[in-house]
Amino acid sequence: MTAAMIEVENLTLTYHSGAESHRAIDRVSFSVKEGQVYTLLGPSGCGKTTTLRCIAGLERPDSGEIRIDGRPVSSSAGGEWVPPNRRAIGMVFQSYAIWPHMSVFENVAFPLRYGEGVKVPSAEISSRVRRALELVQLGELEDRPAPHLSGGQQQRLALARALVMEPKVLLLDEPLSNLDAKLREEMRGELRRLIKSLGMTAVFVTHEQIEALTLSDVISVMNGGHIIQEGSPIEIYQRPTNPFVANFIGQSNFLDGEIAGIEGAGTVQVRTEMGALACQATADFPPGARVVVAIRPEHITLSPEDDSPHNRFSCTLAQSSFIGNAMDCSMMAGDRALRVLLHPDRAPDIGSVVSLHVPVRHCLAIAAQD
Amino acid sequence: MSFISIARKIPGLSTARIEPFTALMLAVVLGLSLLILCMPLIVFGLSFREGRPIDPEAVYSLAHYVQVFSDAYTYRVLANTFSYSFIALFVAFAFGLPAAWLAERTDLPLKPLLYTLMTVGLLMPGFATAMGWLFLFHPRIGLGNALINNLFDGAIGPLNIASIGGMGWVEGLSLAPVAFIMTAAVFRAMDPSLEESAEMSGAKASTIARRVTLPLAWPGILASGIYIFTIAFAAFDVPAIIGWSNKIFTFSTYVVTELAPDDDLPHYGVAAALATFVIALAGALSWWYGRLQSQAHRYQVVTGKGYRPRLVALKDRKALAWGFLALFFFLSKLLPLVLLIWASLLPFFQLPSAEAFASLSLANYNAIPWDLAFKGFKNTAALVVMTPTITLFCAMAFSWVVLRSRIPGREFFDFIAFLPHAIPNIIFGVAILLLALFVLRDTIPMFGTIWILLLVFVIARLSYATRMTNSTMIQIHKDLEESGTMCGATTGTVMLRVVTPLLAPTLIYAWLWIALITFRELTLAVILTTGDNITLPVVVWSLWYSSGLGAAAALTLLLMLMMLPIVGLYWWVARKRAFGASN
Repeated sequence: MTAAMIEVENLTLTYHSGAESHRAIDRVSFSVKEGQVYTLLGPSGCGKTTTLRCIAGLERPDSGEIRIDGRPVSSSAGGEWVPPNRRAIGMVFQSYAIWPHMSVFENVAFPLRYGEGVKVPSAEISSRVRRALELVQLGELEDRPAPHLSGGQQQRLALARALVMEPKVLLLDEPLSNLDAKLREEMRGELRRLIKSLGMTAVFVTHEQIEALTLSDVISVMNGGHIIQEGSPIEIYQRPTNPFVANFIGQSNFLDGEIAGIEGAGTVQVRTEMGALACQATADFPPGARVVVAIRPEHITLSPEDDSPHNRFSCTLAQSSFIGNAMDCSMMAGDRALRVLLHPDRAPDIGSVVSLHVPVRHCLAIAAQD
Repeated sequence: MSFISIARKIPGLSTARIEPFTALMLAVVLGLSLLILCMPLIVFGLSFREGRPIDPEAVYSLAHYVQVFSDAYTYRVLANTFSYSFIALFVAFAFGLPAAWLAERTDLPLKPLLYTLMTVGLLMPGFATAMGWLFLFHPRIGLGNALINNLFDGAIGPLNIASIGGMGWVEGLSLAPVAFIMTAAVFRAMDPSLEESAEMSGAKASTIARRVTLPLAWPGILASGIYIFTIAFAAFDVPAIIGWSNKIFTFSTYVVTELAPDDDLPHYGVAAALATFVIALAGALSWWYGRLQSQAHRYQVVTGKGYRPRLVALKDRKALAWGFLALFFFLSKLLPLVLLIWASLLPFFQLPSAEAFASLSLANYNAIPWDLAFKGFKNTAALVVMTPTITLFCAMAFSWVVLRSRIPGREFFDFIAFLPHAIPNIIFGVAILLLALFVLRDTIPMFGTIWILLLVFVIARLSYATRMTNSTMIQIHKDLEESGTMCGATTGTVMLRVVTPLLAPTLIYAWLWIALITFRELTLAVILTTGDNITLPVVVWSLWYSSGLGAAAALTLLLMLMMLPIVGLYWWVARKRAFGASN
């Protein structure tokens, strides 16, 4: 069992602007183990960036405690406060924050030259800068003025600057959001490989579910200043315990329902407007409990593929649109519309009546929100 | 809010330790703010105090106000000042506004030349223009008057420049470039789609100008009008050079005579009462200005999009337009300059004749009291280097506190930095004189030193400097500084290694501009000069005042020659900036 590198406890921060105040994060707690890539995922304004900035020391929380490598860096109770420039954390900003008046080399050398309490002999500076630049494959560009780099290169440069001090902790604030789609895909894999190979602990902030799913060891989904669910990417995707998570990570169809019976092995019968459905329970629900059934559009199939007796219903295809790798279909079951993703070759004609099926393991019963 | 919760809103300031940089920035901002706020209060307080600075027992009364406002002469001076300022404003707009419109909204050829001439025109201080015009239209010795007399055989004239109208005309000529620069910015910032949509609605060009362009530009034009009026109101050089010897006083020259009467001890209390009155006036005016600015905000013609304003085709009227501009440069710069050179080479001022040409010599240049001039030059040179440097340092501290810290009420500091813009500069001169004489007399003896000049120059230029640093610092993405912090650097190092290099183009531009203004500053220096801290423009003024007209003209020309490299540099930097902005 590896030790916790970052521990965050009961972090709360309220922003004041004139007479108005806004609670950006509210009693947020989590811990990141050494060597983990931990992702804060959520829509804009959910508090993920504020949380990251509190770890960096760029924001001062109203209350709560942050420990990095066992050492308290911010504690409202103990009064400890380590300013950001003494926390020895590497950080990559969303805008990259590459200094335009310096060359590539000078950008990376900055922490070695001007860091507080850092004493790097000047002979060593150039070798360490080169090593960092080679890690991100910018070795040949060290003399180039920073503004002459492409977006992707600037992103790598920001990474090299964050890595050059060999910090134990790396913070990444939406580092891929300014790249074009193709480059973003490439960088996702590369970023994870790099972090893992250097054995760093990383906290990653994003609003892109794909980035979170592919990069992370652990994902925390945040909304309204709270952590709503924490888990591995697979858990978060396949076992959302909350309608918000189910809809934010991928898409889901939601059906209101009530537990009709317990079938054992985590399976429950739920009474819904579309009839009784056999579902995976995400918690211990008593009979009669109000739940929401979440079904992802890609998990609904045309029924000949599966002749299981459960979870079958007949629908009319109302609308469909081609989205490249699938057909995005709107199926009507009575008044109720269901979103279904079908393979383009298999989509029926509009107006045709089809029989649909959802495997039990993909029907999730989630506690209803009040 | 507790001290700690305030303290934690300031980057680099924590309960654990305060970075020296943060402490320095706060000290500069708080100290200077306190001083600026003190000044109107000192003027106000001393306007009620009877007696001399050294009197141990002060008596407070309304005596000074009674004296000032029961004197019919005060009303005459104020009436003079208002008419002269309005004429100056009218003249400045008559030349500046069309020039700005030609530069920004027409296809006028040789626009870079227009901008060059407007900047090189800065070379010529107001007192130089005033001297030239006095030599031209002095009722007795004026060259222009002699010409008119010859042409019309005495039927017209003589024209008297030593009049309210004449002084307004000269002040207006020297303020026209300010009107040009300010209104050009208004025309430049206007979104052309507003006019284009009027055109698509079927409106004629003249209707568009009347119904769309002018109403949109109006808040900006009016605001610059108020600014120009305030400068004219407080200006010392033109009324002093032209009006003083002819016993026509405006507010600034009147205040100076009260502070240094020929036949009596200084009337500090009277000056303070006059200054209080003008502060109240300026307060009302800047309240109005503020309202206009907020309206301008509501109109928000600047959309931040990159666009090119529509250009009106001048067609065959291009020559006419340049003729108008040439006339302006001839009247405001060339003509006075030629007369100044002519006067500087003659033993006494006379009309061109064979005799006059025979008497041309450099005698006036020899007659300059070189000891005094050299002392003045040393002081001026020291101020030209220190004033912009210190002003910009303070301006950066203000911008940093206002834009980067989260101190509650930080906007208030921005308001304080803007105060010297709204209140006529001469008031700050009076206030700091009273401060040095009455309040700090024994603790900090700065009266008669160069430091008192430095202090008031810094305060007077703070508004301009903070406008410049604010607008540039807003454009520097906060991430650039925070990434420096995350790299381990202190706030001071980030400021030095990241912010300052990024601000450098603006800082250089503003440095040169403030250096230029400092070089030619007469109004503030006259009030605070007592011998040892004399500046070059004050030497010119004292020569002129003691009837050494030729020597004064000669020294003025030398002063302009010395400014030439700074003007050249300023022009070069300004051009680079303009090109940088257009790319």
